[in-house]
Amino acid sequence: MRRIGAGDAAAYRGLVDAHLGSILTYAYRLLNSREEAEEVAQETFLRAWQHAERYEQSARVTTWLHTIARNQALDRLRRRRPTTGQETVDSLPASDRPSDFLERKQAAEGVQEALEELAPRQREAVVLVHYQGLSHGEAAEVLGLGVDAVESLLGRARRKLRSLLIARDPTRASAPEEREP
Amino acid sequence: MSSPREFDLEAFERCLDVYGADLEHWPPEQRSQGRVLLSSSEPARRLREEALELETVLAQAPGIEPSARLLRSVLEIPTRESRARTASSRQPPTSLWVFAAAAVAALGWVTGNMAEQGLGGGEAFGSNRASGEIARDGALEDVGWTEQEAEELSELAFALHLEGASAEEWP
Repeated sequence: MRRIGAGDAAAYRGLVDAHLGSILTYAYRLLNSREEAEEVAQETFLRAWQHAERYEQSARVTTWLHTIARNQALDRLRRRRPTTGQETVDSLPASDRPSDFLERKQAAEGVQEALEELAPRQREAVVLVHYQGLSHGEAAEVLGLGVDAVESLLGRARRKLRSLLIARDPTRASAPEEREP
Repeated sequence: MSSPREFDLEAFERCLDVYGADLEHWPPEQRSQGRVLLSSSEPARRLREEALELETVLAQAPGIEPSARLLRSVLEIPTRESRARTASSRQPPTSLWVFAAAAVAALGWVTGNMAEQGLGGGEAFGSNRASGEIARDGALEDVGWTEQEAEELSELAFALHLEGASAEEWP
């Protein structure tokens, strides 16, 4: 990053090669729009180039890029629809027809739709940790939360996804079914 | 009220939700407890199977690859930024713009002054018309300008105008 901050275009090329696909996919999972994801990716690397000299060497590049991309994506999400100032709570109603998800569970679209059913921060936590490969600590840094909060989000998110995507065998152990989803 | 065994199963399921199906990603203490439970508990094994199934399904959501257009655009950022910085540093000095504006304004004042003196009864005056016709009307002589001076001022203003147009074309 020091070299990029000094204007080294070759170093910048290495950054792009290493991270563009990941950042693009990250933005796509948050926005569910290729067009907007590409805009976010473009803006992320523009800012990376412009502000490379301000990059703190103690932070991971991955975390830094994800933080930039997240801010860009959130801006677009806010512009999409009016916000009430309150985050969508965990108690999103389950799909009236969970079998719809099960029927499409092998299809990527079904997974993306299930991700869309999550509360925004739950979706972000799952995307960062499960898809982007960030550690819990790195995800916490991107999200501006503590690690415990991230782990709580992950737990709720996975349980929700499980209820949406995985059929439960009624003959299985009863203990899990007696617990709240 | 739950027995320690169920409690262990609850904690095991929570770890599956938080850390995933791969026990290698669990904290060391929970990992060892989880392995013990897996070896002895069928419900724990089924929970882990569900977690694995979920992760298999989640893995089917594809990432997207950058388009060639996006890749090209992102790679060109340093070049575009460099050109933008160069363009801003190549703008002509402010003093030249001020001089050109002053010369054109002066010519406009001259022609406007002659219009006020009743030349042509409302005719529009422009810099291209100034020199010959003003001289013929004698207006320039009335304000102390000769035909030659009017022509020189007109040529100067026109030349400065051309210089201004070319500056805008600079990279």
